[in-house]
Amino acid sequence: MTGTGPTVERIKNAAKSRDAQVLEQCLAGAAHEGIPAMQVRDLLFGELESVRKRLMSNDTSIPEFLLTLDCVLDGLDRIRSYPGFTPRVDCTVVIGVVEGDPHDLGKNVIAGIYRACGYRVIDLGRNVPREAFTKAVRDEGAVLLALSAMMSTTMVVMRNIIRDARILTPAAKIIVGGAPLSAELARDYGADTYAESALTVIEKTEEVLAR
Amino acid sequence: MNTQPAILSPRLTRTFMEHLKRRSRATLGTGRNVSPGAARLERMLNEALDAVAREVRPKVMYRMLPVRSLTGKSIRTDAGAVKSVKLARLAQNCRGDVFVVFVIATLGEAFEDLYRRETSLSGQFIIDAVGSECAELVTDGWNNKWNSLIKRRGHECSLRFSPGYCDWKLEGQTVIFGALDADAIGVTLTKDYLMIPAKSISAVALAAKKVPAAAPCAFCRSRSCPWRRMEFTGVP
Ligand code: SF4
Repeated sequence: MTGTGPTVERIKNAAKSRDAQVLEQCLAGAAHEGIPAMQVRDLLFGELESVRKRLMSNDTSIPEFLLTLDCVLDGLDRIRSYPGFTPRVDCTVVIGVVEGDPHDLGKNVIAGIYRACGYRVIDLGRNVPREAFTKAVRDEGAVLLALSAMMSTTMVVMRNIIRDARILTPAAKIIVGGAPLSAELARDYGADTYAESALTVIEKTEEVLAR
Repeated sequence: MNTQPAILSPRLTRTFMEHLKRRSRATLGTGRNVSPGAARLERMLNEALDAVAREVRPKVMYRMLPVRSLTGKSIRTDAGAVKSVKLARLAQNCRGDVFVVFVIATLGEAFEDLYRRETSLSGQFIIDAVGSECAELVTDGWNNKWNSLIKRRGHECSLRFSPGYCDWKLEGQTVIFGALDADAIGVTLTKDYLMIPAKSISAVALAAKKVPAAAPCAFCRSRSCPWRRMEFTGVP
């Protein structure tokens, strides 16, 4: 069953205008009218995808994309408890900023994108000690380890974490990102893939998980 | 000339905040009022600026030391050597006694608190951009003030030059932190040479009777360098 009508339109418009408050009201209405949670989930995701594509073609700004992402995350949090809701994917990702690096904005955005796309995210935060990554992958049964470093001085730490992960959690795929990295460096470090920006991280993740 | 460290507490005046708003808008790519979230983003930017004006008290610490010796590779002072071939070349072309001015500017812990309090991603992005621009403007303000002070004493000064840029390795932070007791303004250096609080800027500048160019780029042939200061494209 799919719902049509004014509430669905209002949800679409609220997501388009990045208005979390209006969206909240619409979602309450949707639950009342029996609009399937999965339909709402796909609507929200569709809007995020459309803004992502616009940002990739320089047709909108990063703050505008993040506003949409905030709105979608808020909406998803609300419908998560609705009957029939299931996430888009059934995967856990462990994410964190390596030790010595205090920058976490990029990591927060990537974690938000993973959440919006349905991944279960274990966010270890910033300045994470080496051993914490493999421990979390093992304890949480994660299929993906996402590492970020924003400084050239801290990216070498990544190499050690990747080495640990290859030995201790060999089944988990590893994706890396951050300003000082490149696809070549990521390969040299032993990562499975490299995401050059938050906008391509999901494509890269899907690619690597399908291997 | 006085070689004792000095601390300034620059005020975030109305003019400063207006300038900061213009720069932040340009960095964020907002303010064109055509996008669906434009009004909300403008409101968030104003809130971030208000919070910065209300809570952040920047500090600048600086000190000038004479150059003890100069090689083609480094500039030696009592605090240690600035190991940059490019800056050493500029120093070699200065006339009269050459001095190195060490500076650290910070927005302090209060800014970190503002960032930590922000829970939305768009809000974090906006406050982070405002903080970066604010730290740059505070340091620019010091640079201008310093330039006019040194000019009154019949000297000239270069633009600032930071570790991690051009050919000066990030390890160069230790020389700046050796020259300045940055604890006095609440800035510490990690073992990876990163500054805490993050919205801090460290740099050196050269001062002499005659400084031939404001940046070493004037003597550099690296035309594709991403850090080239645009106004100095000519190679003498
Ligand atoms: S052009 Fe680049 S490499 Fe050359 S002096 Fe300027 S910053 Fe340094």
